Order: sequence, then C-alpha cells, then structure tokens
Amino acid sequence: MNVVSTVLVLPRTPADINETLSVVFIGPGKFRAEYLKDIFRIRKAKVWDFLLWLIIHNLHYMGMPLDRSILDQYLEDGALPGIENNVVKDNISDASQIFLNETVGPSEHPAEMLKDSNNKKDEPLIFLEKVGVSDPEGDRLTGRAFIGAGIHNLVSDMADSTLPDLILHCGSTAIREYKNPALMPGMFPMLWPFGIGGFEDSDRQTPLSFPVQANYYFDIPDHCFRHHHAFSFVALNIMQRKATHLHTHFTVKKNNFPTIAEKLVKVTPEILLSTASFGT
Amino acid sequence: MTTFKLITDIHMSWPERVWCEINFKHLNEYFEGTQWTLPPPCAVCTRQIHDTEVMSIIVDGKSSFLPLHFDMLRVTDPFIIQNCVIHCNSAEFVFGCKALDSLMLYKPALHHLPRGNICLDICMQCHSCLSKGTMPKFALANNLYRGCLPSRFHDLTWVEEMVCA
Repeated sequence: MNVVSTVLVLPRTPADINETLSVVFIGPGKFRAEYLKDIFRIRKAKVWDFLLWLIIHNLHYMGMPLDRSILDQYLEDGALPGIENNVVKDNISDASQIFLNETVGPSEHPAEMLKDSNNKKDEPLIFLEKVGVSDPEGDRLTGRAFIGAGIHNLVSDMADSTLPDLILHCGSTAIREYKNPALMPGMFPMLWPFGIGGFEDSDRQTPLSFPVQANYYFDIPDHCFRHHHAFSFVALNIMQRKATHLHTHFTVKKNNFPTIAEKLVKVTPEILLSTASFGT
Repeated sequence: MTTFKLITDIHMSWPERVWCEINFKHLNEYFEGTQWTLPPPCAVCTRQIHDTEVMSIIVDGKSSFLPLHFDMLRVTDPFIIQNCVIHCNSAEFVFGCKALDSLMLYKPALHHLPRGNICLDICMQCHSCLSKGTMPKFALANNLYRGCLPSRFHDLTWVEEMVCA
C-alpha cells in the first residue's frame, strides 16, 4: 500500500491536493481540459488572503508556518495544476451502445460493463459532474450505464499501482475521530471560520451528541452547511462508522477482539466471491 | 305547464351553486396551506424549524434588567472576547442596548422597537430551558458559535478551501 503523508506547512502543494483527488470523466465524447477550470479553480491571491486571515482569527491556525513560495506552483487564476493527469477518461458509454441497452430486454448488470471495450466514437454531448452527488438516473444516460462506467473507471484506476490506494494524513500523532472538537473545524475552515464550536466538545455546559449537532447545522439560516460540497457526506460517514463501532462492540466481547480480528484478516476476496455466488 | 314543472324538477335536482366567497375562502386556505413558511430565527439558538412556535420577548432598552436567565448567555470564552470584543472585528454581540450587549444572541432575531425597547424572537425549547436556568442545548453560548467569515471569502471554491486546510 502506498501511503502519503501531509505537510506541516501551509498552503498545501498542488501535488498534495492531487493525490487526494481523482476525476472520473463519465460520458460520451472527448474530454477537454477546460472543463476542469470551473470546478478546480484556484485563485492564488485569494488563497493567500484567506490564509493570512485565518492565521489571525482561527484558533487552529495560530502559529502555523506559511510558505508563500508554495503558491508559485499555482496559476494566478486557473485550474489546479496537474489535475489533468488525474482524469480517468471513459468512452464506453457511446450513444449507440446506450440505445441498444435501452431497447434490449432487462438491462445488464453494471458489472457486465467492465468487459466492454472502449469505443472511440465522437459524440458532441459533454458534461462533467461535480463532486458528491450525481444523478445516475439522468435523462441523457441510463442509470446502469452511468454506474457501470463509474465502476469501470474505479477498477482501472486501482489497477494502476503507481497511485496510492489509501491516503493517510498523518502528523506526529494520529488524529482522533472521537471526542476531537478540532477535527471538523480543521477540515472546513470556511464553515468554522474561528475554528471554534466543533463536535463533541467536553466543555459544553449542555452536552450535544454528534448526530444532534450535525442535524442542528441544517436548521440554521446560514445555508453554508447545506450547500457545502463535503460536509454532509463526511458527517454521515463519521456517524455510520461510529454506529458500526458501537454495534460491533455489542456483538463482540472486548477480550475476543484479537481473535476475531485475526479471523477477519484471513477472509480473502475469493472467499467473499464464492459466498456471493453461492446463493445464485 | 308540464314542461315548466319538468324544468323546475331538473333544476331542483342540480347541486346547489357554490358562492364566490366560499370559492375564494378555500382557495386562500389552499394557498396558505401549501406555502412553506419558516418562523423567524431564534435569537438564542439561531434555528428556524418549520411548524414550531416562536415567542417574542420585549426587553426594556433603558434598564439593565434581564428577563429569564439571560445572564447565562454572556460571552465568557477568552478567545471570542479577544476576537470579537477587543479586536472589534465584528460587532456581532453589540446590540445597542446596555442590558443585552455581550450576550451571545443572533442579531437578525432582534428587532428595535420605538423608545429603545428591543423585541427578541425565541423558540419554545430555548425559552423553557432559560426559564429553568439551564443552558439551551443549541444556544450559541453552548460553545456553538463558529465565528463569522468576511464576505470577501464567501466565493472561495472548495479546492481553495482544501489548499488552506
């Protein structure tokens, strides 16, 4: 497994950001680099201005070393440098194939799409989905074609061993997910501009649980949480993981953790596949 | 004569005409019932929840007397005092009323009335907590204040946020 560590100086380098991003271009037609500009736009002056503001006002940025020379790696106002190398192009969903899929009987399983060879037919229709939610049941592509293309790209992405499989952001100490009020404010300085008011703060006079507080942010007149590209997904992810931990804790005794962990490690993809195909 | 009777019989069997007033009354009810109206935000917790009751509390602008247990909402965090009060970066907790100044309240929920009085909108949940003297769960003063982002940073893109985080 390739592991990437983070820098302790801000701003982050383009290479650092690129390692955490991957663009999956789904859709018929040719991909053009200018489509990336709107979504991955970085304005150098704005970033520096924001960092200077954060150093003064944000609790977690005080004393953080800034390096202006890192900014030289970015364009004045343009797409994230190097992002074009992270684009995985997909040309499997061409119009005639979709038409065939639509007119044929029950449509095939998304996994079947993996076997499709790349068709190089040009099609004027171009679209680029933003991060997060996409509408797989859009009117231009069938849901199955969309999902299939996504899986196809993920698999081909994984096959390229030069890319990291997992990125761990590590400093000298591990970042805690439990009872760490600095976690979310540190991740999203735009949502918590002063870096205060995080989750699971033990200093709170009336305690607040993580889900209740996450829900609260969707009831306030400030719509920044509702419109944020990642907050709702990250919060839900953390909540689901916590629920899993809790229920595992209920099912397995603490003394049995090492033995169960050993057994889990022994489970191979082949075993999972044979279990999955057993029912069919 | 028989034709006339026949016509009257047919007329009698018709349903009664619906009056204009009734039509408009129900149209209005439909219009109001299908509107999504949010109550005003609560001054203590800033929440706006559909179909909840909001109380109005009037504070005398001249006296320093505070209703309920409003004293609990005073800014005590040295970091917030440093950032908001001393640096004067924002006049967020200054309301032009001696009694209310430096309380952690949501400014848009405060309305200035004639003769210097101030009207506060408060949701029932915060009101019942404050009257009992307990800290409302979602009060800004319950370490939920996040600070304010200057408007020039509102258009930062998500990649720009990532570069800084």
